[in-house]
Amino acid sequence: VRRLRLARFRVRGFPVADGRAHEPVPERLVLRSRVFDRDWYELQAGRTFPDDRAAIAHYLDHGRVTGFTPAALFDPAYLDPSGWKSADQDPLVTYLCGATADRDPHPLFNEVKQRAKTASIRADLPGLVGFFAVSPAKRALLSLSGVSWTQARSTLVRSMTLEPGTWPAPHPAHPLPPPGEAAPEGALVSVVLPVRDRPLHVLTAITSVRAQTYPAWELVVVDDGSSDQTPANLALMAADDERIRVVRGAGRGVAAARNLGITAASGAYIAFLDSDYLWEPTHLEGALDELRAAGTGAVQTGTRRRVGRDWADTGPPSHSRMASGPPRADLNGLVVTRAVATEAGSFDEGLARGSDLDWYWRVLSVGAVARTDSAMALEHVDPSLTGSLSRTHPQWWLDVAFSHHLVDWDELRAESRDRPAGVTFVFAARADRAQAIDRVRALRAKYPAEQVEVIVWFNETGPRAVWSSAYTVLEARLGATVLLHPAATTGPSAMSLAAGRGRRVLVLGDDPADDLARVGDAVANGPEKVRSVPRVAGSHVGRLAADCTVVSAADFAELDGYEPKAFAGVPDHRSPDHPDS
Amino acid sequence: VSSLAAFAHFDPDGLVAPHVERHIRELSTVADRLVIVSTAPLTDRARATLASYGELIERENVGYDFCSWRAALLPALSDGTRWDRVLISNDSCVGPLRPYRRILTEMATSGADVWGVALSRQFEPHIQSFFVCFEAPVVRSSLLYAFWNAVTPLANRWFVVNRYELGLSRLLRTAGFTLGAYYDMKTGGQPADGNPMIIHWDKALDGGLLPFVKVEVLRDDPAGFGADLMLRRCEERFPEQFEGVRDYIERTREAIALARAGSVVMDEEVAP
Repeated sequence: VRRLRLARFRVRGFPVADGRAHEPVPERLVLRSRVFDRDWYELQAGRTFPDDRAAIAHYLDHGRVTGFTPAALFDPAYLDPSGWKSADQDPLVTYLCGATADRDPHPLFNEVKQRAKTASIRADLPGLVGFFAVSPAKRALLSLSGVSWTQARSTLVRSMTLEPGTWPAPHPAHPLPPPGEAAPEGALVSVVLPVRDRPLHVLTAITSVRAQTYPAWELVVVDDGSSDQTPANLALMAADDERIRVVRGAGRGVAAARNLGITAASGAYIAFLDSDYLWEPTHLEGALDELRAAGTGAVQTGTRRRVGRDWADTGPPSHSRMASGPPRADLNGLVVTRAVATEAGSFDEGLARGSDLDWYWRVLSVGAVARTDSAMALEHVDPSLTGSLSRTHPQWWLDVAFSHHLVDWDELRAESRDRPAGVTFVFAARADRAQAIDRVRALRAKYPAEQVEVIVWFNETGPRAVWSSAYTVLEARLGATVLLHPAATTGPSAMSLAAGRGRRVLVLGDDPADDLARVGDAVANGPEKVRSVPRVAGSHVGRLAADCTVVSAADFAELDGYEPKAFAGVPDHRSPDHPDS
Repeated sequence: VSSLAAFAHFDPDGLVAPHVERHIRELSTVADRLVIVSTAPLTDRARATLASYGELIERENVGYDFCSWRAALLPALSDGTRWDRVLISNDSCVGPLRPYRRILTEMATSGADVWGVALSRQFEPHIQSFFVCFEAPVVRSSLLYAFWNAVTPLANRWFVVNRYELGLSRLLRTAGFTLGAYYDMKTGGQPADGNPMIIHWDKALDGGLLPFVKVEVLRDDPAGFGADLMLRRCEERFPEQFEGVRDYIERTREAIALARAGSVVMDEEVAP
């Protein structure tokens, strides 16, 4: 069907002569498709183009280098993760030519479902093209003046988010509270616990649910294809307590397991627990108290993880945290009303990893999430665990963030202009953890955390990095913030800024020799002494660090390092080597 | 009180060291049923010695002691017998320096649902697994069977400690059971962080206040007290109980070192 539609499109767009189709002209093809979103593209590029053709030409020349996408819901990296940068032809052109088979250009876009629910779709244009041509959201955006990138993206994403499917009716004894409405006392909480091949860990997790001081709960354990003693142990636990139900999953991964669990749940509230976590006894009680007090539809409790002998807080995601390191969207501390869960939609089963992060961000977009530290979810990290419900394909959190376009970068910029006084001291530690600890320890001996905030970023990610006890020392004992990034790009600088709170930012390189003197200068000098950094070509933190520069956070935010796509490791598009500089 | 006991045995030369035999003999005095699981290539004499104290199960040397205890306990916990108490122990220590019967009697007043010789504060509070006593409330819950049902062989010693030794105490504590320890009860608890079997080893000399001494402490001296000094003091104070220990340490030193070399141990870890 797609081929037929494309054939019709080609014939209409490119007249046939002498029985042979003319060679498609990429610019014309993209222009006619109406997929290309000039507003969107200009926001990414940080410049304006005289017309659509110029913008499209720029995209076709540089899109595969810069990573800029042609539209909010067209992500070349999602369409062809391994080959989009090296392909001869632009990914959008390839897509329009129908050469991408059944793949979708964005995880939030499902052509079949979108067609089913959109009566006005242009049937004569292929899926995504047709939708974009008639999308009310798009029309609304184009009619607005001064629309921000974030508004555009969030509107589009919301309009394109899939229907969550058929959710069961709320528990009859406890009417469904709408988002934001106070929760009735004694309402049933459904705890969704997915597990595969973790017969001991799940015992502890289940036991912690049974030990809750809040009695009105049901536990839906989704056994996602275990092949060891897990089913036997689940049966034992279910026999002990009628509030425990075991649902057999098909081994399709954690997102599908959680969706199955939510579907089977009947409570007015949904809480999540992973098999390698446990709750403190007051977790549900504390969370629901806070939910009622705050009048929100969701609440996040404290979360901590134990690595070795140390505990580290793993708070909820925020815009700053989103930009500051590995994912910390910890569903184990989240309790939501069913209404919020329904509005957030189902977990994206197409995501190899990070479906929890993606879902958490959708919850945040639904409404406010209250916060309490009086209840706690705890993770005991077990390095011997080899099985996981996540699929094996390593798709890390930045992929999720960018492919779903859920990071509110405008908000990040706004945050950076309104920070408490103080100095944020940023330095790159590369892989030398011991030296980093020495530097921070020396600094801390003179300056407390309230006076000087310290951010250290390392060029490494992955399980080994997450496991490093050096990071725990830096964070838990020395009060530093540790950021991880796999490569030396402009990204970490912006990540540092995004995570920082100081109004002044002090960026240093590898040499620790003059740390104290330079930090002392930055602390002593008032804001009037802060050097303003002009927007110049090629100015990013890597260069600033070379001569130790103190900048104001507001100026810092204007630097290229803030460009979201810079995080993906693409070159600075305004560097002297770039054709557009 | 009907008691089930499981003892995990290993010896690189397939022997039963004198202090190990004394330990098993003492354990047999408080167990209605004693199951000894050996992963050693037993000599005929050693096999006969072990079998004289209880049921003997010989199995492949994989999975460390937790798999041995699993082999002993799962059948016994599911055969319909109503046990009031379950004990597990192994050959990693010298003792008990006080009779088991006295220790069990004294601990009966503690109210602990599950207890050991000492509570370690390393990593998180946990009962050290070289001796654990599960009292009736734990034995009759489904958790004890489910725990042993969940035990599978792991690749190295640290993994076993982290998942099973720490995990056992964590599971039972989460379930609301009271954890206790003989040494803690006798001394009123230890505020200090760390492993009492190492930092308070000398309390054993005080009439067996700490009723075991870990062989690993005498052999490897992780806290730097002086291995020979510690062993001499022990031999002087408890000549009968420590007879043969010096020979055992020397005989097994190389084999144990080789076995440890293949096992990943955290840099801060010392014999939990």
